[in-house]
Amino acid sequence: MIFGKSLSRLPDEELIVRLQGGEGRALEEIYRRYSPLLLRYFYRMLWKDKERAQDALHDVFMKIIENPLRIDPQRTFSTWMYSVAYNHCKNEYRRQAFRQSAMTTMPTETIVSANVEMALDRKAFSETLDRVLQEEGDEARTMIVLRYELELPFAEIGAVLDCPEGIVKSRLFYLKKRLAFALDPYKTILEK
Amino acid sequence: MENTERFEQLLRTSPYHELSAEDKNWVSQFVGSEEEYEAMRQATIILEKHDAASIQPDPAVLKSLRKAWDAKRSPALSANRFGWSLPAYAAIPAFFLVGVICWWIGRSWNKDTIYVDRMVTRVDTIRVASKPDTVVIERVVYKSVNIPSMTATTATKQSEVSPMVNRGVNMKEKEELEKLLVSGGFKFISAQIARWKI
Repeated sequence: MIFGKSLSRLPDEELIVRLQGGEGRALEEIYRRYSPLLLRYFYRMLWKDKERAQDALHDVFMKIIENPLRIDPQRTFSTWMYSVAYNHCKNEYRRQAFRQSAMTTMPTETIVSANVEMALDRKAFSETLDRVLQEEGDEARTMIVLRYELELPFAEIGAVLDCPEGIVKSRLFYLKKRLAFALDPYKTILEK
Repeated sequence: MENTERFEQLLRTSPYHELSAEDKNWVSQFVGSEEEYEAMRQATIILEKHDAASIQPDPAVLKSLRKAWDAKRSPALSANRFGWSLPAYAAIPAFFLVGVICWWIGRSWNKDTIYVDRMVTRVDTIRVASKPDTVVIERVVYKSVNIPSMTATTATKQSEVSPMVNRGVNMKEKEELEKLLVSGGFKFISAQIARWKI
């Protein structure tokens, strides 16, 4: 090949330059690399709603299509991408809060129950874990997803959330401690 | 490896009873007891495995993005359309072929060209004539005219009779006039004649 080489071998930065130059195949390559990770991120962050996760994925890439020049060349592309995804989730939380305030539904139970019978039910355990993570707040959940789902290094998580790496480490450490304490009644399930 | 990363690595890989004495001593700066270590280990494993969804991007998303990209790029000439790659073995004959086609087209265009050796100026006489477009035909038009009778006797009729003054006296009128002259009424007739003459 004298006019081009396989895009799958190019680094992100090169793909971004090509994308900004108007090459559609570069966008497809970026999508191929990042869409599964982003989708998992959105799925975990947006209440495990598959449809909403797909919509969020679409929206993030639409932002790139609408203005490829908005990609910050000073940051690595993955960091920039996850920052956009994080901001998208924050907007979704705001919208959801508005919807919930408009609806007159009964408040959901948020207390972590130590009921032994519940501990035998895996579904109940999963729900409890979700509740605990929900209570930790958006930023903490983002840290968890970025660290344990997408396996990003601490430094990159800090860059995404715009906070120092040390804070990310310390928050994740204490978060795990709290989680360990909250899930202690479910020991039997965990051991199985 | 930094402390936090190393501690996480140990949590992922080793239960407390498998840790060496040195590691046990080292992890004691993070956790107070074996139970706490095990609880944190479980939490780490849960976070990694919890709902590891087998979710895949919907093909419709990519399709929609392609459409949006094309719509965005269509007004301008997209660089992507020319961004295809061509192998060298195909590129050289392709360039040659394009060159031959261009030469052939150029040659066929030049076939009807007239070459001029020298210019000659010739003066001719030109008659400029214009055709008449109006035709005039003379013809006699006969028209009936009503002539009023001569019985008017009052002065009030004078204005109506007056147009007849200039038309002269025909034979029949003259004959009647002579009859009147013979039979008298000279004054009246004289007046009539005088009026006609006017």
